[in-house]
Amino acid sequence: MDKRESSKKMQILDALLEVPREIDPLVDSMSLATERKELSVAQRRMWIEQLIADHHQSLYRFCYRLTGNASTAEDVLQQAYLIAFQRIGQVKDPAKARSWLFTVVRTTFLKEVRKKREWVFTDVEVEDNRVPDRSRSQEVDSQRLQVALDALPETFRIAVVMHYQQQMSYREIAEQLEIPLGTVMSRLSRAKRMLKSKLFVTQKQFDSEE
Amino acid sequence: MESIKTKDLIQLLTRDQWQQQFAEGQALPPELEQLRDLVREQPELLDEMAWQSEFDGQLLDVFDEIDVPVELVDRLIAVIHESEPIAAFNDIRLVEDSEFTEEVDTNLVIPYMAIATDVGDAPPFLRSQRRGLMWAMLGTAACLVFAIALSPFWSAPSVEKRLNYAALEEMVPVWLTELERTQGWEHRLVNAPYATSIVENQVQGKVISWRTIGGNDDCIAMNLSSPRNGKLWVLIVSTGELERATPFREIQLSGEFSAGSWSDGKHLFVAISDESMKKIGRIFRKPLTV
Repeated sequence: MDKRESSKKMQILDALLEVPREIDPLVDSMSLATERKELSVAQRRMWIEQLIADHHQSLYRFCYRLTGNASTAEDVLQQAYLIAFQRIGQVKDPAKARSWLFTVVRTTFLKEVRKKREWVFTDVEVEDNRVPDRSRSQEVDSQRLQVALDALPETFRIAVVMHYQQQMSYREIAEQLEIPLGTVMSRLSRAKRMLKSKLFVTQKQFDSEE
Repeated sequence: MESIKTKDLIQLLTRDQWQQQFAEGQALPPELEQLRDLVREQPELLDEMAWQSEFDGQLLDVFDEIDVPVELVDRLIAVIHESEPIAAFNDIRLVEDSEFTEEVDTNLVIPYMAIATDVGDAPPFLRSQRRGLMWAMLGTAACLVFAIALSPFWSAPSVEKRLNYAALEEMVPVWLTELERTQGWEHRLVNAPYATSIVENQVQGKVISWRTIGGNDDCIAMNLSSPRNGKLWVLIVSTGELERATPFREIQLSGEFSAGSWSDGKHLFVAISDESMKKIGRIFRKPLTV
C-alpha cells in the first residue's frame, strides 16, 4: 500500500470512527482494522474507564442530590455508566462527553423514578407560599438541604441541582435540557423559593426538637 | 414561554450578580434588568435581595458536601468489565444505530442482576461474533436462572414520590402529546379499565373513546370531546394512596389548553380542555364546582 493510499484510508477511518484524531488521544490506540462506524467494545471500555476516573465524583454528587440517598445514587450512576458504555461511540465531540454523561444520568434518574413512582397526591403549594422569616439566622447543612430537596418535584430538583451544584445559569440549563428559557426561569425561581421555604420549615422543626 | 412575575426574578439573581453587577451598576442579563426598576419602586426589596444573596451563598457552599465512597471507582469499573460480554452481543445489534440521541434508551441497559452474574473472562477484542454471541447467551441464561430463583425475595425499593400541583403542571404537556394523537384511541368502552360512569357521573358529556397514557394502566384518558365541549379529556390517574378527596383546582398551563385536577378520595382526575377555564366550570356536575 503506498503512502497516498494509506493516508486516504486513515481519513476514511477517522470519519468512520467519528472521533477527531487530534482531540482524543485514545483514538490513537484504536485498532485501525475496525472499519466500522461504532467503536469496538474494548475501545468503548477504555474511554468509559477514563470518564469514570475523571467524573465519577461530580456525577455521584449529582446523583446523590437527585435521589437523596447513597445506595440509589450509586445504582443510578452504575446504570448511567452502563448506558454510556453502550452509547459512548455516539459522542461526536469528546470535549462534550462530560455534559453528555450528566444528560445520561438525568435521563436515567427520571426513568427510574417514573418507573417506580407511587403517586400520593398532596398539596405542596401550601408550603411553597410560606415566606421565610429573614430575621432568623439560617444555618443550612447538607442533611437538611437534602430533606428539602427531596420534597421538590423531580423536574424542579433537577433545575435547582444543576444551578447550585454545577453552577449553571438558567440560560445554560435551558440549553442543556433543551426547553424554553422562560420555562427554566419559572421552574428555577419556583424551585428556589420552595427550597428556601422547605429549609425554613425543617429549621423550625430542628429548633423545636432541640 | 411561561410568564414569570417580576418579583420572582429576585430568585434568579445569583450572589455574584448581586454583589458585582447589580451593586456596581453593571449590565445584568437582559431578563434581570427590570429588577432595577422594581427596586426603584420598592426600595424595601433591597433587603430581601441581600438576604436571598446571602442564603444563596450558603446553599452553594453546602451543595457539594457529600462524601464519595472510596471504592466507588472500583465498583463502577467492575460493573463495566462484567457487562462486556453482553456489550459485545449488543454491539452486533447496534452497528447501524449510530445517531447520537439525548433520549437514552434504557432498554439497552443490562439488567442489574445480569451484571453481577459470573460469566467468566470477557472474550478478547475482535474475536468472532459467534464467540461473543455464545458468551452473551450464556450470560443471559445464567441471569434468567438467577433472576427467577431470587424473584420471590425481591422487593423493589419504593421510591414514593408525591404528585403535587407543580408536578401535574409538568406532566400535562407530556400527556397532551399523546392525547392529541388520533391513533391509539379505543372505541370499545367495555374494554376500558374503568367504567365510563366514573367520569360521566362528574362531568357533563359522554365518553366516546379511551386510551392508556404512557402505555400502561396507571393513567387512563377518557375522551369526552364534542362540538359542545370542544376538546375535552379526563384522565384517571392510578395513585398509590390518596390522602383525601380534594376539590377541583386549576393547573397553571401556558398555551391554548386549560386543565384542572381533583380527586374523589379514590382516584385522581385531571381534566384537560382547549376551552377556557371558565367554560370548564360549566361542564362539571354539581356538587363539584370550579
